[in-house]
Amino acid sequence: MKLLFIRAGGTRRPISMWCGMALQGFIFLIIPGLAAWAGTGRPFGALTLIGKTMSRTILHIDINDFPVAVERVLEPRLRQRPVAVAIETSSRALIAARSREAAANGVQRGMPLHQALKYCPDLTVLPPNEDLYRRATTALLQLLGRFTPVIEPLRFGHAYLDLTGSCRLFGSAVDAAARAQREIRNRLRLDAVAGVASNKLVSKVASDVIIVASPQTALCDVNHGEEQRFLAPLQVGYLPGVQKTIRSQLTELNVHRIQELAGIKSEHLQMVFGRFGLLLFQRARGIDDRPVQPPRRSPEIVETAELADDCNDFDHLRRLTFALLARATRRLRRDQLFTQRVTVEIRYADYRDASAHSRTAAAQNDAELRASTEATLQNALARRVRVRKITLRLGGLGPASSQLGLFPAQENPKTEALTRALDRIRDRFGDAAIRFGYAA
Amino acid sequence: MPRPHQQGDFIHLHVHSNYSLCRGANSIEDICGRASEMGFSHLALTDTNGIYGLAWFLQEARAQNLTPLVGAFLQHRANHAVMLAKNLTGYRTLCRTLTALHGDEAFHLIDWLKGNREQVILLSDDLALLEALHQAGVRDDLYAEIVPHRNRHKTLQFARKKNIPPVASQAAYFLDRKDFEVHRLLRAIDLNTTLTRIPAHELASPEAHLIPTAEMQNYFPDCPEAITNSKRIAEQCTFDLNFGKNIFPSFQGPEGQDAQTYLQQQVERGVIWRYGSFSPEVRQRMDFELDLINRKGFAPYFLVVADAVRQAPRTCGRGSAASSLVSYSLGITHVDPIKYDLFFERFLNPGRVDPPDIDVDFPWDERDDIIDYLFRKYGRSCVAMIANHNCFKARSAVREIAKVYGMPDREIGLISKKMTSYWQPGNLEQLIQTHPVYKGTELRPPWPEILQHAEKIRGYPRHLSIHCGGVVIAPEGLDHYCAVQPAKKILRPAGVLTEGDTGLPRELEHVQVVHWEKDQSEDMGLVKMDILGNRSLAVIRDARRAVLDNYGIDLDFNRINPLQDEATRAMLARGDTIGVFYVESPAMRQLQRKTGKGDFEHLVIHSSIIRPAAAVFIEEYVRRLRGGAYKPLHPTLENLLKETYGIMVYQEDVSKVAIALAGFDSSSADDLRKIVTKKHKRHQLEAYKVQFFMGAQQKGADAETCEKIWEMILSFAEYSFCKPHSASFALVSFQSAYLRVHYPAEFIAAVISNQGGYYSAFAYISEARRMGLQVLLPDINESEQKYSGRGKKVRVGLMQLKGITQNAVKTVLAERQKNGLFASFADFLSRVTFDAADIAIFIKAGTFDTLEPHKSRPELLWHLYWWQSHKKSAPATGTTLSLFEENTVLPDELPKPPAYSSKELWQMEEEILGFLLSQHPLTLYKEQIQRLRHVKGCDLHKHIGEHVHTIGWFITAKVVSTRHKQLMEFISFEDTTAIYETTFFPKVYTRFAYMMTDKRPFLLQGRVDEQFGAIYLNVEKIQFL
Repeated sequence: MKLLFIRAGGTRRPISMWCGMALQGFIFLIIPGLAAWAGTGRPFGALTLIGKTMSRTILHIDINDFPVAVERVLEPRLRQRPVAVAIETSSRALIAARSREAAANGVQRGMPLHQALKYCPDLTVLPPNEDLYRRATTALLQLLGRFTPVIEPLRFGHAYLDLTGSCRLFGSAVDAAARAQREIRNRLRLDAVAGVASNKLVSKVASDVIIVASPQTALCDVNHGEEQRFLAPLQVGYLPGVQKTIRSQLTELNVHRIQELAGIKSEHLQMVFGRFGLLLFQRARGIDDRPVQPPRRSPEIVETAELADDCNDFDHLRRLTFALLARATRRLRRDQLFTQRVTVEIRYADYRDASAHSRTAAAQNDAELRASTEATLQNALARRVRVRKITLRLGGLGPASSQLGLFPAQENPKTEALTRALDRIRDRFGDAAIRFGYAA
Repeated sequence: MPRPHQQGDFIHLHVHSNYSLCRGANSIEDICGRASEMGFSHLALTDTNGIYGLAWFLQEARAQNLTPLVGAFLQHRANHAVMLAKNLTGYRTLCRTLTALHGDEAFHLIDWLKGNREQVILLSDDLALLEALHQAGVRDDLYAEIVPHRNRHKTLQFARKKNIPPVASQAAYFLDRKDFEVHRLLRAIDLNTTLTRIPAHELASPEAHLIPTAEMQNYFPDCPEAITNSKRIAEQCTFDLNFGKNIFPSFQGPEGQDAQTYLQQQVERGVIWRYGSFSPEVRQRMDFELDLINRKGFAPYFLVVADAVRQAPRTCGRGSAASSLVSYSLGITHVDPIKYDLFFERFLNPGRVDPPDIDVDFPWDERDDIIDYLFRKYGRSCVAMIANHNCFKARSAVREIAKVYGMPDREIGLISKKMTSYWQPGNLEQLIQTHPVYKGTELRPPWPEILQHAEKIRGYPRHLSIHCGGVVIAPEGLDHYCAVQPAKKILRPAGVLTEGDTGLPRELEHVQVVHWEKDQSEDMGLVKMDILGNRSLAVIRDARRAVLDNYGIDLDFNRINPLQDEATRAMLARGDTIGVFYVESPAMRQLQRKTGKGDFEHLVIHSSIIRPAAAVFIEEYVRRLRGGAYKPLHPTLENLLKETYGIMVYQEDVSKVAIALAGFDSSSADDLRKIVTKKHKRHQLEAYKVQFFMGAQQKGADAETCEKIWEMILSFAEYSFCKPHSASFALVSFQSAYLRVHYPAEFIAAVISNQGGYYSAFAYISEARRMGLQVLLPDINESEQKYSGRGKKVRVGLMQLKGITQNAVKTVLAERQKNGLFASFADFLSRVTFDAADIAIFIKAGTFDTLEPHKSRPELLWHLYWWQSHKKSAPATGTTLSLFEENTVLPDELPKPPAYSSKELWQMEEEILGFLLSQHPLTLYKEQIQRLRHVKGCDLHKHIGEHVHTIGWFITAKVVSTRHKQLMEFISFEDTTAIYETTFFPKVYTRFAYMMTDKRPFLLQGRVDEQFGAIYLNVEKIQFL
C-alpha cells in the first residue's frame, strides 16, 4: 500500500530519505506495507473502482511567486537573485510579490518598498505587468488542458485539475503530474509545485506543505485513504478557512495540530463554530467534496484600476472610476449589451475591502451611468483611508430587447452620436486619446 | 488709547478665531494684531456658538488698542445670526442664548430670538430668519448682513424690499487667503471626512478673510450705508465688560447668621478641636487671619469649602491654603501651620487682589459625590464646572491630519505613538528626523506635508472637556457671567458620603461647564473651588477598611501618629516606598535612600525639592545634608533658608528672599512669585528684576550674588510646591507608609485596586512578591471586585479581567453573597445567567482553577460551549437547573485537552490580565538566563565600579534633557530578585531608545555606580534576551 509519493526534480528519492524527514518533524508518515509498493506506478483508484466507490484524483498546480517566476522567464538574469514586484514610481509602493531569495532577506508581501530596499539593498524591483501574467496563465492553462478538460484556474499560476478520467491516457496521477511539471518546465520554463490527492483540499495542502516546509521538493502525492494521516501532524492553520479568529479560538481550546482537531466530534465542533464546525470536522479528516469547476463565462464586465500612489482625493477617485466606466461601457456597446447594476469595489491602503452597488435602468452609455456610479462610489468610500485599487463591475447584463422602449430615441441622439464618435476615436487612437473633463 | 474713527470706516462685526472650534484658522492674537495693523478702531469676535476665548480677546484687543465688541455667531440647525451685546444686560442675553442653545433640547433659534433680544444687535443673512423676525414685528437692532462672497445681491435685494437696514460684513474665518487650507483641514477633522468630501455648506468661501476698509468699500459702491452701519453698530456695542468683583457663592449660617459671624463661630470651635485651648499665639494668628478674610469678603468662600469638605470623611486640603489657621481649624487642611511655621502670606496678604485658591483632594471615587452635592445644594443655574479647552497637541494634530490624508492606522501609529505631549513646538519634521526613538523611521510623502500642517494647528482648541475639579458657584445665577453648556460626563455618585442623602433635590445627570478654562475664568473674576481626585486617599481608606475587616483594628490616624512610628520612618529612610503616596517614583526613592532621612520635616523638603524648579539642586542638597560645608547665599538669608540647608526649595522662598534681601513688601513679593511662572508676563518680570537688584544692592549684596540669587528665583518658573502643600502631601505619605509597613498585603491590594499609581499593576505585583507576599490568581469564590489582601496574601480582584462586563462581575458577587460559594463549575453555570463570552474570560483567567482542580482551562471551555448550545435548545418551560440535573453526564464525553503550556498561558494571561500573573515572565527564560553570566538585581551593590551584565524587565522610564539639550533616560528594570535603576546617557539612549518595550526581557551591560548609597547601572549596551 502506498502512502506518500514524492518526487523531487523528476527523480524519486530513496525512501530512507523521507523517513529521515518524517523524523525531523516533517509531515510524512510511513506505514507498514510501504515495502510492497515498488514504484511501479500501477494505475489505481478511480477507473478500477468505478461502480464501487467513486474516488477522484485531483492535482493542484502552484507556481509560487508567479509574477516573479514569469519575469524570470523573460529575463533569465534575474534567476537566483532577490526580485520583487512593486510599482516603483510610487513613493508609497508596497511589495506585491517577491522571490524566495528576497524573502530570505526579510522582504514580505505588503511591505513598503522603501523598507524592503533597506532589508535587501540589491533587490531588483519590477513593475507589475498584469498583461504578461495573463498571457502566461493562458499558456499554462492551454498546456494543462491537454491533461484533462476539467480545470479550475484559481489566481495567476494556480489551478486544480481533475485527473480522474485521464488515467488511461497518462498513467497514474503522479506520473501525469510529473509529466505536467516537466512540460511546464520545458515549454514554459516555469517551476511548478504539484499536490496530488483525492480532493481539492488535500491537494492544495500538499502543495502548500512543499512550499512552506520542503522547498527542494516538487511533488507531493497523498494516497487515497491516507488523507487524514497526512494532515494529522500539520498545524491547523494549513486548513482553508482557519484564519485569525478561528485559529485563536482553537488555541484557546488547546488545539494546535490537525490531528487534535480530528479527534473532536463533529457535534462538539458545531457547538463552538456553528455550521463551520461541520466543515472543520470534514476538513480535519481530509474530506472535501467540492468538484473542480471550470470557469463559467462571467456575466459581468469588470474593469480595474490600480493606483500608482494610493490616494483619498475624491475628485481623483471619481475621475478614475469614470475612466473605468468609459472602458466598461465601450465593451457593453461592442457586445450590444445593457447593464442594470453598477458595483464599485474599493481596496484601501490597509488592505481592507469595501464595496457598494446600485441598480439602474438598463443603460449602455457612460453618460447615463455617471450619476449612479458616483453615488455608488460615495457609498463604497465609507472610510477616509487612502485607496489602492478600484474595481468597477457592470452586472445584470442583457440585450436591449424589451428595455429599449425606456429610451426615447429622440431624447439622446446627440449623446449617442457623441458616444459613437468617441468610440471611433478611441478605437483608432487608443483610450487616452480623448477624455471627458469634469467640473467639480 | 483707542484710535479715533475716520470717515467711512468699516468695522468687522463678524470674525471667527480658532475658538470657533475647528472652524477659525487663526489665533485671537494674530487676528487682533492684523486688525490693528489694518488700522481698525473696533473689532468684534463672534465665534461659533460660544465665547470660549472671550477673556483672551478682551486682553489682546486692549493690548492692540482695539475696542473689543462682544458677540457670538449663533448657528443652530439651518438658521444662523450674529448676536452682539450692547452692554452688560446685552451680554447677559448673549450668555442666556448660548446656554439655551447648547442645553435646551427644544431650542429653536428663530423662536428664541423673537423673545430674547434685550440689549443685543442681530445681524444675519439667513433670509428665513430675517423674514420671520421681521414678520414678528422686530424692527430695531436687526440688520441684514451683506457678505460680498455669500449671496450678496439676494440678501441686499431682500433687505431693501423689507426695509431692513443692511450692514457690510466679511464673515471672516481666517486672515489670509492661504489660511483657507488650514480652515479646510480643520473642517475635515471636525466632520471626520477627507478634504475633497466636505459638504459645501460646511466650508467658508476662500474669500472669507480679513480685509481692510478700502477693499471692503469697493464691494459696496451701491450701498455705502452698509459700511456706515457697521461703524454705527460698533459704537452702540462699545462697553467695558468687567464684573468689577470676584464672583463668590453666598453663604448663610444655619440660624441665619451672616457669613462673617458664622465663620468666626466655626473657627473658634475648630481651634478648640485642634489645639484644645486658645494660646495667645493661636488667638493672635486667628484674629489676624479672620480680619484679613473679612475685609476681603472671603468668608462665604471658606464656609462653602468647609461645608463641602465636611461631606467626606477623608480629604487633603492642599496648596497654600494649608498655611492658614482658619482652614486648619475648619478641617479643610490638616497640617498645623504654627507648629510647622507655614508662610501665611503665600495664601492671603493685604495687597493681594485676586482671590485665594483653596484646593481640596478627595478620594478619587468620592469626587462625583461631592460635585453632585454642590450641584444639588446651590442649584444647577448657579453651579458649573470649569472647562478644559482640549487643544491639538503634537500627537493629536499629527494623528488627525494624517487621518484626513487617509493614512492607514498602522502607519499613523508608527509616527504618532512615539510623540509625547511634552514635545515643544518647533519643526516636527526635523524633530522626528533627529530624535533617537525615530531611528530608522523614514518620512515619505505626504508625511512632511502632514507634519507642516500639524505644526500650524498645534495649540488650537478642539473641543471642551471638564477641568479635573474646578467648580464655580455664582450666587445670582451663572448666566450673569458666562455661558454654560452641558458636558458629556454624567455624574456617577457612588453614594460613599457618610451623611448619605442630604435630602436635597436631585435634578442633574450631566455635568455642565462654563465656556472658559481656568485661566480665563480667573481673569473674568470667577472664583473656583478645586475638588480634586486623589487616589492615595482612597488607598488609605480601603486599606484601613480591610484592616478593620480582617483584624478588627480601627486605625484612627488622629490617635495613631505615623509621624512618630519608628518602623515607618525607617522604611521611608530606606526608600522602600513603592506604592507610598508621592514617595514612590524612582527619583524620590533614590533621594530618600541617599539622604537616609525618614522624618516628616525632611520628607516635606524632599517632596518639594523633587519638583522641576529645585531639582537641579538635589545633588548639592544631599551633599550639604550629609555634612558638606556651604556658604549661605547672603548673610541675611542664612536663617531664612537654614532648614533647607541654604537652598531655595519652596515657592514662597522666592517671596521670602525678595522681602528679606530686596525689601519687597509682602504683596509685591507674592506678585513676583506669581509672575516668575507666567511666561507671557516677561516685561513685568523685568521691572521686578530691576527692583530686586536695587533693593539687594542697598543691603550690600554685590552684583554677582544678585545674579546668582536671581537665577535661582528664575528656576521657579518651573513647577514647584509651596511648603504648606508639601507638608499636606507628606502627611498623606506618612499615613500610607505606615500602612505599607504594618499591613503590606492590605496596602498593596488597595494600591492596585485604586489604579493610577506611578507603576503598572504588573510592577506592583512584582513588588508584592519581593515584599514576601503571595499573589493569588483571581478566583471565582475568593476574589472581590477589587484586589484584596490579608496576612501574607494578595488576591487579584475581578477588576483586573479585561473585556469582562461590569454586569458579569456584579452578578457573580451578588449571587455569591446571596446563595453562598459556588460548589463547582456546573453549579456556577446553573446559578448565573450572563453572556458566555464573560464566562470564557473567567475561565481563561483561571478563576476556576481552585474550584475545578482536575479540569484544565480548555476543558472547562468545552463545558461552557456544551452548556451554551444546550441552554439554547432547552425548552422554554424547563428551568436551567433541572436541565443540568438531568444532563450532568453529558459533559463527560467532551474533549479533555491538557492544560495550557506556559507559552500559551502567557499569551492568555497577557490578553486577559494585561500581564503574566501566574509567574514572573522572566521565569519563562530561565534556561537562557542560566546560561548567561550575569549579576542579580539584589547583588548589584556588591559590584560597585565593575562592569556587569544583568537581566532586566522594563518597569518604568523617564526621559530628561541634559544641559546640552541632549536626551537621556532613567529606566527602572527588575529581575526576579529586585527592582534596580539604570541610566541611559545620551549616546546610549540615542542608540537603543527605539528598542524599549515591556513585552520582552533585556540583557543589559554596564557599570555599577554608587552615589550617596544609591546604586545605578550605567548602561552601555542592551540586547533582547
